[in-house]
Amino acid sequence: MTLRDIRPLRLSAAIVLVTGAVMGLFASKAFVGDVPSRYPVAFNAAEWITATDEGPQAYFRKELYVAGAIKQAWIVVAATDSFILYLNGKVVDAEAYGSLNVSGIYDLGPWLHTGKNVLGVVARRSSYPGPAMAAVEGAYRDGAGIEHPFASDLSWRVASTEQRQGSGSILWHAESFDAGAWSSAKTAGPPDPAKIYSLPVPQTAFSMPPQGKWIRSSSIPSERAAYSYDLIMPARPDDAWIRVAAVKPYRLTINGVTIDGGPFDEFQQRRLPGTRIKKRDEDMSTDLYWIGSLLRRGINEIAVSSDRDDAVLAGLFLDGFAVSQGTVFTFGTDSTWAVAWPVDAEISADSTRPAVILMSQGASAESVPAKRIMSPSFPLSYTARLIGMLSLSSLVSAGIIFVLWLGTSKIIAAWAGVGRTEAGRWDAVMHLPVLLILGGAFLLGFDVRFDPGFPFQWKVIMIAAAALLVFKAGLILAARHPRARGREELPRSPSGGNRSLDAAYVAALLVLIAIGATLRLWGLDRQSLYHDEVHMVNFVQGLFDKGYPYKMIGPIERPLATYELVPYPIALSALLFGFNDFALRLPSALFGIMTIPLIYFVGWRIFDRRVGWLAAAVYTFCPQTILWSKYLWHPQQTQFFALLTSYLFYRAIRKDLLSPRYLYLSALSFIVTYLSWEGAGFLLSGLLFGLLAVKRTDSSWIREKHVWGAVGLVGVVVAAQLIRRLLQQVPYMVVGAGLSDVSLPTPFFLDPMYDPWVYLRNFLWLENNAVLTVILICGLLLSVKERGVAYLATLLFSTLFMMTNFIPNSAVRYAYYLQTILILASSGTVMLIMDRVADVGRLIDIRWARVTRATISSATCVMVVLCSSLFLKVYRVNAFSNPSGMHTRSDAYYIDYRAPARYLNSRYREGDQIISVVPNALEYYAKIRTQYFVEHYTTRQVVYDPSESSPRYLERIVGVPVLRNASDLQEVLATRHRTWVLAVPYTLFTLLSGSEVISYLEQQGKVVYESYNARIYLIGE
Amino acid sequence: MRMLRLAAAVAALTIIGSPFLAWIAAPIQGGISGASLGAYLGWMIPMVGAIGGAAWWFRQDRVFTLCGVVGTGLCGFFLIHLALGDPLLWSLIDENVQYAGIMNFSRRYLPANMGIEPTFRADLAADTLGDRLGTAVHFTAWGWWAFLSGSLLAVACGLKAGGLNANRWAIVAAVVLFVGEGFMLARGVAAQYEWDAGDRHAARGAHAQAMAKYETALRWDPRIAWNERTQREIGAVYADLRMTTQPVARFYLSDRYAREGRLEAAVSEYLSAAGEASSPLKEIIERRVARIYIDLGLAQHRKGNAGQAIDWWERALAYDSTQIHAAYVLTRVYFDQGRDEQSIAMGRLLLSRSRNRLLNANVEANLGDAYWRLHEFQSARTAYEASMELDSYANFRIFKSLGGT
Repeated sequence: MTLRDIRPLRLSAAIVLVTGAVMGLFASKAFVGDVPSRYPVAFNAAEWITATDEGPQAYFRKELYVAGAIKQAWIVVAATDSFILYLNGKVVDAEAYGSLNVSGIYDLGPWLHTGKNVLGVVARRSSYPGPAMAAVEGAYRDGAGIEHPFASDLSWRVASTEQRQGSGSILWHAESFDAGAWSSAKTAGPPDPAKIYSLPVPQTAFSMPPQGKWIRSSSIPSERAAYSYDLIMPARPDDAWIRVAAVKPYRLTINGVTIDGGPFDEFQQRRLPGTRIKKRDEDMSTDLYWIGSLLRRGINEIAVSSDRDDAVLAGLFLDGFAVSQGTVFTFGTDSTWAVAWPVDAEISADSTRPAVILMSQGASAESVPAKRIMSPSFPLSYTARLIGMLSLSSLVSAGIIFVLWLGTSKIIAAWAGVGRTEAGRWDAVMHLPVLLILGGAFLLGFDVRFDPGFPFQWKVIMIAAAALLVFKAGLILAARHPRARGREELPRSPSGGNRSLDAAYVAALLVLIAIGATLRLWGLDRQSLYHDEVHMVNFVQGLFDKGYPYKMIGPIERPLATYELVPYPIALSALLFGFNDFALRLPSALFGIMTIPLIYFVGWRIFDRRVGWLAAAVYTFCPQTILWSKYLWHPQQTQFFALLTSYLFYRAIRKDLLSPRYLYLSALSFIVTYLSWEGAGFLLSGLLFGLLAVKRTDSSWIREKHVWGAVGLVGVVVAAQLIRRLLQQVPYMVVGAGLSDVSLPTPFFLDPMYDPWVYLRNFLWLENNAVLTVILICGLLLSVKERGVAYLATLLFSTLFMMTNFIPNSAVRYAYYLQTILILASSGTVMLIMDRVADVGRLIDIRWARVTRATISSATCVMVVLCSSLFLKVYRVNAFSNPSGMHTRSDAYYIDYRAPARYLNSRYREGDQIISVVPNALEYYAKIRTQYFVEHYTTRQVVYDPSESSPRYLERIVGVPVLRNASDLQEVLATRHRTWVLAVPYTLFTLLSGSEVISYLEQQGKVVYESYNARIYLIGE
Repeated sequence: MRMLRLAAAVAALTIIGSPFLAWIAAPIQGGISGASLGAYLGWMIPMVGAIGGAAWWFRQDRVFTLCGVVGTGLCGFFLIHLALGDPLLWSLIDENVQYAGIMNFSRRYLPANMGIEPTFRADLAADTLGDRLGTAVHFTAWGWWAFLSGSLLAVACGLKAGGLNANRWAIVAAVVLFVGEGFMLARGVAAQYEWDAGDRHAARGAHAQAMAKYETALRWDPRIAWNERTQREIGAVYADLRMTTQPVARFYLSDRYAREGRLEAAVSEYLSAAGEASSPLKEIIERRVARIYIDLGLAQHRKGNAGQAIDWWERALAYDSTQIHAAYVLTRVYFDQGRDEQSIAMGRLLLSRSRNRLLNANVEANLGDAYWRLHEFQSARTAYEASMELDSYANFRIFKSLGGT
């Protein structure tokens, strides 16, 4: 085949070459093995332990009695969503990531002392449902080398609330705390390693006794020294770790590759409560490096140069282990290590001599500093070499696959009696399953349940290669046997009138709606209403009360001036089904369920039914859509009408002549969207850019009177809404800033707090959305001429651009109404790419090829739906950037207002005083009125009391007086026998109240109840 | 065709407008515009814009494409030059370190104010070629991006209008420009390669070979001498070779004292090394000394010894007047000590030097506090309002001051 022959096969050749290159890339990665592995947490004796009430937090405590000096100690902790590990009153470390059973391994050797030691673990859940649990296992090795294991079991004590003694000065994890009143922990079975996020290091790296000895350049302290050793490996290791303790800064090289790096911190913990047992940048540490990819069979040179060895650390300690085909090899520093002897500048050749063993390891625990896991970085030359290898491997593989393709297409052409071009196209399609297999495996590498190196295994590559051979062989055989060849041409698009296909689509949609409804209605009221929801409920109560939505802020009547249309469906639901959480959230869930057929319909009308179905399937399982369907606020309603508006507008503009009917309908739909949430006003700019993308050079729409009529209609409503809103702000004075200040777009890009990447991080690259975004962006070049994709992509990106640059505050929920547009645009792109690829092999008469195409289509759809669904936990895709999971993952539980309110209701007595952060939530759930609100700085808006009946500021939700500091607090506490402080949400309470108030509460109050982000303090009695 | 003309006009206008935007965003001293980027770039950017505009007006597609190519090349040159050839990068990194210190101090000792730029990064490094390129990209501001987008759009429009054949001179120019920039970058790559080899030798204890490699790296890219870590590693090798009288070896030794907590000995050694050192080591040592003075002051401040802290910070400022970090902490601690006039004077000095809005908002708030205590209520109000104007997002401190909450 000559170049001229290949020209009509450009796309086919591209598919073949890309397949070959990707296979080569995977093979090269598998060979080099440069992706660090994760290691399952292996618990031998530990059991999950939980509090007796199985609440969302539990404080575990264990007293360890150490008889004498110890050589080594380590601990592994796993917990539901988060934990903080304490030792003797100090924080060892913490891990937190919502919806994930986090784990950690730590060295306790330097800090365990003779006598009583106290281990404390606080586990908190941020996902729902289930109790907070922890599993702990560890051991310490005494001076005689005997290992003393310990593990979480019934001997651990537990409390459900944070406790203090000695007027708040002794915390529950301190040695002097008396936990005699604590109950025994409840066990919940042995932990399943598959359900715990694996460790970044094998437990052996912490538990293995030292394999080396402290060495030095001479028997007396000297200046800097360089040590080297030739490690002989009988085989290339599958895994290898090294432990280095030397005076810093030191240089470590393995086979000539210098390893540098900093401490490993996957979840990027910023602040921890309490005093840390060690500083993060400790001068003394035993650093753990993964060196699996650097070692080879035969001689491996290890060289370390440390700073002067008369400092805190004496000389060098290094050991490690390598695993090869199940056999473990260990090595360590000893007298066989060579030391470079410092020489004068004039002498060019440096000399070496044997190292001196300083002392036998194990004399004291302090001799090996605490171990810490390092995140290695490699020099440019090493990285360049890797890139070179990857490129070469990809090139070679692409060449092999290309030649194979040329050969097989020649055979197919001969046997099937078709031209080489046609045969080449058919054969090219057989490569797509390989791309799907490797692409799927690559995506699984981002799922926290899989190892990051999962895609780069030989077995994955073998499966892909086998798939290629099977599909090719099938094609060759089908070409050989005429019986396998049909006659009729397949319809290009399955949207053409086929009655059974119609029925199948309808049935599939009904199934999706049923599943979507189940996901959205199941557990609709399981979580308590959040403050924004309760806030809306207040307006609904106002609607029932006076016929229009309003609420009272102290003496001020405040009509609803934003989300004007949101209360009405809620009120209707409450009227029909009663005033309960389920009924109040039902409209939102119904909007979510109705969006499934709507997105199907829009996808069908803009593209075809396949796109509609794919979009509906993606939407049904998308975690964000499930999450917002269970939220009685504006996002779901806004999204529904925004999608309707976008579709109606597209219908209005898609033909040469504008459709006035659809234009006015889209204007009306926009008005409903805008009155559901005024921030959706940015959709207007998106629609304008969408119009330009569809009409392109045709500017006749400017002269169309109906366009201006619709714009005028929208303009009047928007202006009226804004004027009303501004007028309603006049009657009272507000101090502080809040969302209510945001009414008109401002040039936020000039503000120092401007973040150009905010919606990239929080929307386009938000965990499961990342795959959709990649598909859309990759497919844009192929599908830019397709009006539907161009319209939706322009609408999406221009609206996001405008929101980024002109809205002063940003939040995940602001972009949520564009979720359907992202899904539709990506689904449209997927189908367009698939059609384009199908065109490569217009497979008119080979049944095998039809099967292949059907397989590819189905597998692609399944992959897109799965990857954007709640079934995959692709938290690695955005480097674990959403630790709380709030507004991101459907099982995240942000704040529990209901359980604390019910607790208080059961204990409240006449004459008790209440201080709370969100008074209306307490009133809604417990019918108890709040007397005060605490705010140190005006973090949340406060208002001047226009009635002048109170000398204090009023908080902005229901208008209770504001306490500004600890002396204000003490003043009001003195008036009552018993005061309850509802610190719900606790994170906001700590921010609002300031350290002085918190400190006072910790000394004088007692935490009597805790739940998700919630605490109740009791003062008095 | 009409769309193409429109796109080309947008490209020309973007290029013309870009010199008036900031091309470098310094953390404290604010944006440096294209026009101030030095003689070579300062006049070239508007010139490219003007020629591009004229080419658009006279419908000279080939010239227009050429302008786009030159613009893209200039962008590449700017980035590589900032990363590899411009000492400004080191000043920017120093400013960044100072700004991080200022923000830490504010968070710890000032009343609540949620103000830190979302794009601010405290962990910028310049130890490797990759680090320096990344840092250079971090400091590039809107002007650079606007110029690059305008230039790329101009290239696209020119190629679309004329095709490849008609634009062969532009393609030749592009090849020449990018090959030249490739050579510039290759020097950095070569230097990095030699440096890594030096590190390998140093780890093995082959100090002489390590020194030879480090010197080769410095010959390839002399700008790496501006990096503190570079000097420290060279100093370590000199120390290993027992050439301890060299200023760079003394720098290493004093740095070691500092790490060991022997700060007074470190400062004394630094000062004597600075006396013998030449540029850029001298500047590095001076910055280091000033930073140690600031750290000593902060340590004293944490212990509650405000008087001694002030003494160290004043010393830092006297030693290196560019240490805005010292001036900033002094403003607040003067106020805490009741030295309101001095606090105001230092605040005014800071305002004259800093163009960072969040930093200035905090300074204005400090000024407001000092004026308030001096009973100059009108000045206090003006300062508080200026603070609010500069930082309107979650400036709780000002809500409290202005609102009286």
